[in-house]
Amino acid sequence: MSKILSSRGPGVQAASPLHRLDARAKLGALLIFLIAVSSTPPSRPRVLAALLLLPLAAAFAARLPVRRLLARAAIALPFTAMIALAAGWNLGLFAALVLLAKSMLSLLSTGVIVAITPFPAMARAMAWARVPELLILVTQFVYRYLFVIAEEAAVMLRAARSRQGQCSSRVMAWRVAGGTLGALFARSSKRAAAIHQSMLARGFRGQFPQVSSHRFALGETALLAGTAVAAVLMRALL
Amino acid sequence: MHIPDGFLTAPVWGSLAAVSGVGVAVSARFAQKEVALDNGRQLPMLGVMGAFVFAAQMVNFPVGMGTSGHLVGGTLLAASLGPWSASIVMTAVLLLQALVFQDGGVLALGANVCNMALAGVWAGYLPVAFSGNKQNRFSLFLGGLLSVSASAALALSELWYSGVRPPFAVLQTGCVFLLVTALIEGLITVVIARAAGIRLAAADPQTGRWPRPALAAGIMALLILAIALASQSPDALQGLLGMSGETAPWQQRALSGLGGMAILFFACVIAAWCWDRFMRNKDA
Repeated sequence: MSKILSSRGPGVQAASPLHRLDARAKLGALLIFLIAVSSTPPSRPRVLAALLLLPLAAAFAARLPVRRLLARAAIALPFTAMIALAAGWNLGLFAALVLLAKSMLSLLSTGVIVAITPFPAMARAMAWARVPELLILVTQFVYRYLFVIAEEAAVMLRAARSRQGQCSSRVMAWRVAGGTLGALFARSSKRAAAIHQSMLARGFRGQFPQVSSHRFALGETALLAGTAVAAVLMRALL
Repeated sequence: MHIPDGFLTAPVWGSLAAVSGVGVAVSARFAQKEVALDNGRQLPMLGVMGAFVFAAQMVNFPVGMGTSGHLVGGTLLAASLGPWSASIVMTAVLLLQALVFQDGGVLALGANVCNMALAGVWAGYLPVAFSGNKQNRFSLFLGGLLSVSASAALALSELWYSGVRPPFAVLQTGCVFLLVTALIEGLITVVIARAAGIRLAAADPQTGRWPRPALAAGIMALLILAIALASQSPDALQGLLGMSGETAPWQQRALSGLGGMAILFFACVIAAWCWDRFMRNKDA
């Protein structure tokens, strides 16, 4: 549970020119970068090494703690290493290592962008990109109540553990976990009804109010163009 | 089961992103109709259920030998919210996991949505829809089993088309492991539904408006066909031939292993249908 509560990403509070850019530009640059990584053939690891400079430069410019970002990206390592190992069987060890590097590079760049882009701004960018409105509304709801429900689950599990002590058998452990989640399920649907009442009381008409608007100025253009040009140049020259 | 970035080739993730884009747009249109009823009463329900699935994935169920499983949630959502809304909620959860928690790739999001939010939810919904009774424990168990095996089989084949091809023995072990995971999902779904006092039906305001089982089966078949066709783009095939020269016997065996999983899947669907007929006859 502490994982979910502490994984909002490092450096959300800090502000830099990069933090203030429009989310569309940041997500766009992330997509360009990810596509550049994904399309690099395994025979050219030098291009990948050069591409690593981009997220590192962004992390430096945004004054993010690079070591923590790397540690964060390394959490997925056991899982990705397993897939890479399976791939290495017919592609060879070298290709497997390149695949692993690709996945780490993708994780690192996503981590940098997530750390400098608040979620409401991402939701606005998705609305601009014509993502279905219902999906955005539901995503915002999930994000809003995620920490509330996760905390409630943690409290209920702790209470169950202090009532029962160590679970002696597996059946007992299943009963405790299942019972907790069942009760949480019932409580959650009750909570949803209460939320709806308070939404109606505050005049909800089917949409969350939008506070700030989009802007696309010099900085945004520079970020997008810079990422694209850098990716193309690295691919052409190395 | 989340596919991370860096492993899928461009034709695979690109075509799956297109498939999931269309699938999510259609689901959103149908779900919107359900949500718009009664001043948006269902909207906070979708959001809170998404948060519930998120939190439930953090609670571990011990399996033995130091490992543990957790809920994926497709069946529980489909049974409590209906398949269209469940797809939207699952997509929202995957979106947050990819963009905020870095669990599952951003480019691979389309693939993950296809596997878990579309195929996973509909596969889990099928037995529940067939039995027509959301309180039926057997159908909930079968739903969980089918949901996770469908997602896992799709994820495996997508990686396969991208060139991640483990030898037969490893694939076999992997399939057994995934089957165990699927069994656990079925059990967890039943345990939660039982502990919740199965208020699943009560959470859904318009039981009668759900799509007919035949429609559900048709959509599921179309979805699997679409994903199979989309994954089978010429580039991936060319890569397969170019890399291995000619198809080795172990590759044929591994492919037939995947085919076997698909057959198992449909056998389960047919079993669910027969069980349902049997139960109805007994009731009558």
